Amino acid sequence: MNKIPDKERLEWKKLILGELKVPLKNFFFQMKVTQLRSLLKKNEITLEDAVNDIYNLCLKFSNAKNMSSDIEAIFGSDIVIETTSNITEPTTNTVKNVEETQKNSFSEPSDDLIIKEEPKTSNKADLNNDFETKLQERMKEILKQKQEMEEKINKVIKAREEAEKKAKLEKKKRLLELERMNMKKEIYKPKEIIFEKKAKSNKNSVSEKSSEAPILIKNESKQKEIERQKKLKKVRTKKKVDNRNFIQRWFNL
Amino acid sequence: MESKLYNIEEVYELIEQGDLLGLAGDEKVLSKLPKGNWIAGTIPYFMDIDQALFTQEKIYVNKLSDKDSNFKIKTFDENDIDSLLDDSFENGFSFIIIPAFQNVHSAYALKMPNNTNLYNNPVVGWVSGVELNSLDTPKIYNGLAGKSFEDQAVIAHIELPKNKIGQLDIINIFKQDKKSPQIQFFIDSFEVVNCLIDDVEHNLAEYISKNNIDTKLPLIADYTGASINVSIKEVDTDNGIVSFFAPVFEGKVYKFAAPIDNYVNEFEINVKQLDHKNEFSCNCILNYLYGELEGKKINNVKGPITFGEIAYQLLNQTLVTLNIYET
Repeated sequence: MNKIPDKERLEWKKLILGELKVPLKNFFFQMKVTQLRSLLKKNEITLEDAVNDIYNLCLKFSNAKNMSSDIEAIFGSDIVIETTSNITEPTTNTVKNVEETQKNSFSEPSDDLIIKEEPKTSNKADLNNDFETKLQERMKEILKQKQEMEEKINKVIKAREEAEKKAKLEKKKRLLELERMNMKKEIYKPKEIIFEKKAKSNKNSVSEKSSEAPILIKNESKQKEIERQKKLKKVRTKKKVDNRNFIQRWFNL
Repeated sequence: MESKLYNIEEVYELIEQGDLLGLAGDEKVLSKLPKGNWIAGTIPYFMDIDQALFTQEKIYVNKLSDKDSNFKIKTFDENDIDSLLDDSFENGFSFIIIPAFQNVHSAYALKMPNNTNLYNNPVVGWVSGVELNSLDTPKIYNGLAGKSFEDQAVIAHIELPKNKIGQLDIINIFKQDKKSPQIQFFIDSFEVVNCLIDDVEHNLAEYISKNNIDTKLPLIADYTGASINVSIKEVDTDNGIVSFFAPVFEGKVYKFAAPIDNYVNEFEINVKQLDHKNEFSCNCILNYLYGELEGKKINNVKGPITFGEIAYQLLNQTLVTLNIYET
């Protein structure tokens, strides 16, 4: 049974926060870490819950192929790992001795399961506390920045909506005038084209703006993409396609 | 029992033995099977012992568990995705078959990656399909109920003893092209109009067309070391829309894949790292088509050739395997 380092180890948090750039090999581990990072970004999970989740699953799958080499890559070769499993792994050269063997693979780890590690520095606990406070401060900062950003985005969206309303009214007025004057030449241009032109003209300016600018643009674009796709769905549901053509189209035949 | 193609009479006998079976075959043969401990999906393309082939007469059989083991079979639709894994076993795996082109297919692909129970056990399976030139509709079967469905998917939760553990692996022969720009999307979707290409907004269809990008090559995102493909279904330059066989996700950075010289060679090289006793494997129909695999043999790889592969989430152009290990 491979042993998993205690969940209090900072590496777990660093791994989920993306601060540890370790290329993982175990497929479950790769996918789970990616999921937790994504959920954390969306504020759908707390860091503590994420650590608990990954730790418990790593305990469960500790004997899976490539798991011990991944753990070693994250926690360093000073981690004590014992392998009694039948699964062979390509690289376990740095495996060291352990004192105890885990008996029940799916139970919570007892004290003797905690990885025996020689402390590198005498003030390790202080370092841990320091990191914790820094982490909390950083999280607060991020939350604050996020709120500010959301406010800015809302303002932009509101301003945009108002401008669109005004434009629509003006357009109506103009059409009415044209009708009256018996001039029914359409001056309407599709939104997409106008937008693309804007995007092209902004090409250079985007990279020159402050770090907030791309995010604002991205959020605006997100709204637009949603609107575009809504329109798409409406158009597509009207088209009933022959099944044969549909399948052929799927495979570009 | 060896996992391979069997004729219908042999499958009758295997069903009678009572083990839980995962079946893949054409509707013509699957619809003749008696009730029993089996689930199935329609597909007439396979990787068998000797070669990759098309057959509507035989059925590919995987034994999923012994008759004495605990398992649960249920069908589900797009409204059940969030609770899909709530009743899975503490230790085991879930085997899933989803019909292509249906709402349940897209709902699974879009919602499942956020399901916090997704990684509690391996979730493996495939997307059912049909002969490419036929008018048939992909189906799935719940053999226990003796019913087939076009708009529902089927899942079997299978319990493993405490001394065994399931593990998924993938073989993706594609790698990100180092010269590719970084592509980011605004929303999670199967269809895309605009996206960010190296931080500048572009119409993706226009970009692909202008740059002559080979649409047989997937987009690839890096999932902490795992290369996850999204295959291009259609580039509609008239309407400026690109459709995919699996969704692209907001927040992920994608790159175009580097070209492949020889599909079979690439598979041969990559399958060497697999455990050859895998319980289940499936490969993508796009690999079969684009790699012209029909009649060719890939050592140690068997199973249905599918309209989508599931290794936790929906994948494209990927070979998926499930292994059961003793701990």
